[in-house]
Amino acid sequence: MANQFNETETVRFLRTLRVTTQTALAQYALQRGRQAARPTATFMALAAKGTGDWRFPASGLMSADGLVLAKLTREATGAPILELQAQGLVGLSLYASRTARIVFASGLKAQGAFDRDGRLRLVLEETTIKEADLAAFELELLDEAP
Amino acid sequence: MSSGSAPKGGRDIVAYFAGHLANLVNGNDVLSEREPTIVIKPFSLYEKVRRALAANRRYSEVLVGVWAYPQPNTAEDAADFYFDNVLDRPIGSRGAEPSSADNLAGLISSRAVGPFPARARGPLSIWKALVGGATTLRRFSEQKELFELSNRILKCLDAANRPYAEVLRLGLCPKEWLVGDDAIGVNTLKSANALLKALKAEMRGVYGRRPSQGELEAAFALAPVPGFKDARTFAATLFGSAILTRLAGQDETLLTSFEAVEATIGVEAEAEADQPLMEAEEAAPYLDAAHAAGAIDGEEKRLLVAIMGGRSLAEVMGSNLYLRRRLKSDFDNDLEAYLDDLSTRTAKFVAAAARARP
Repeated sequence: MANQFNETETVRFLRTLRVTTQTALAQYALQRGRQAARPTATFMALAAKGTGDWRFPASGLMSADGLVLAKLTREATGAPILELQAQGLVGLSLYASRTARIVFASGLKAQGAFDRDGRLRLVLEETTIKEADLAAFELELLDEAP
Repeated sequence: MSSGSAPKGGRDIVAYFAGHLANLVNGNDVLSEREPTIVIKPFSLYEKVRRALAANRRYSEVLVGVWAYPQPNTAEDAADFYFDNVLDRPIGSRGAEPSSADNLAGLISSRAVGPFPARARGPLSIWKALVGGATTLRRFSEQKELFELSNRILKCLDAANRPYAEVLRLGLCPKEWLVGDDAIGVNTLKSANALLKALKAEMRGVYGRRPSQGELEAAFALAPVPGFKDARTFAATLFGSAILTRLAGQDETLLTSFEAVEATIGVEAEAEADQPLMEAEEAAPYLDAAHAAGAIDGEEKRLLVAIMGGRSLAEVMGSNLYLRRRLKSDFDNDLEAYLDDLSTRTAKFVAAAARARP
């Protein structure tokens, strides 16, 4: 049967294969992102090992849906800064330019807006939050997608 | 049968980007299937596209080629330049026929809800074809309609992306050679790439050095660049010198990118085809043949039939345990890698079968 394929029809088939599979993949990625757009994303560190205080992992903490990476840095004054970065195309589509609220396990809340590159930087008050409080928190989107 | 997770090829990334644009224009990232219309918001769409070009690693590396931009350019600068010089590049028509951008604009206008202002005269770009007309559209709800939108965007990209990709393929920065006083025409870029390919063959894989005069002359004899009488003349120009210097400074990123970028423009016969996409029934004999020859298995054939017939990937994968197991065991649950592999196997078989035709 294969040797019955003429050149024009073969080109049409190859084009169709390429367009349909790649469009379906792009659609799948975007819709998966929309489905993942639950009101809250959770961040939960693994149980600490050893006897010392729990430390925020240097490599960061990934949200349960894998769409946001949280990292902890510090200002020159020592104040902790929680930096959230949306991951990949799906994460960026979902979080960029959106307003969000963080609710820490201790009950403390902080609010900010992701920039257009999917980055959110929250400067925290060291007196009100301890590093161990960052072991579990929730990220909640507050506005509608643009 | 090959398996494993392979990086997305350059050829596929252009089609994926076209599919991505089609889905964004159709609001598939924010609207449910029940919404009948979409309001085109140019700035919001621009932000999504620009962000994807800057932040998505495969777009940034293969399509935009951020590696070719010298410091202090950033991924954002490269994405901006790509937007201005590919997506917003006017696409001319051939003779009296409408351009691919005119055809795209025609499709968009055919979905307009209510009156809309006339488009500006002159050649359209992909961007102006998408956002320069009607602001409220009936959505491309049928999958076949979405495929047609994607196909028309891809036809535009095949044209508008070509000069940019040719500069990248040479290992040069599009910002330096696509605009301004040193801008090089697309035909010269193509010829220079043919010369570079011949030169790489002469150098027998030993890069990171300047080619000898003998290698350069042998390559030029095989692939001369019009407008330059010999290899020495070509090498003495700013353009020729830049190519040879870049070749002398080869690194792994550049070598990898050469292959990927070459693949984005290695489908000339397909790009020139102006036929409509096939219906699923028309494609069936090709998939049957690929299955019979063992290039794809029965469940994979059913997957491709379902995609071409307009069923969603999520629905097809969700209902097929065999495909989900294969996805997990051979592709580490990377659906993109699996579908790329499946599509490549099918395309290779069909192309080889057509070539073998008496």
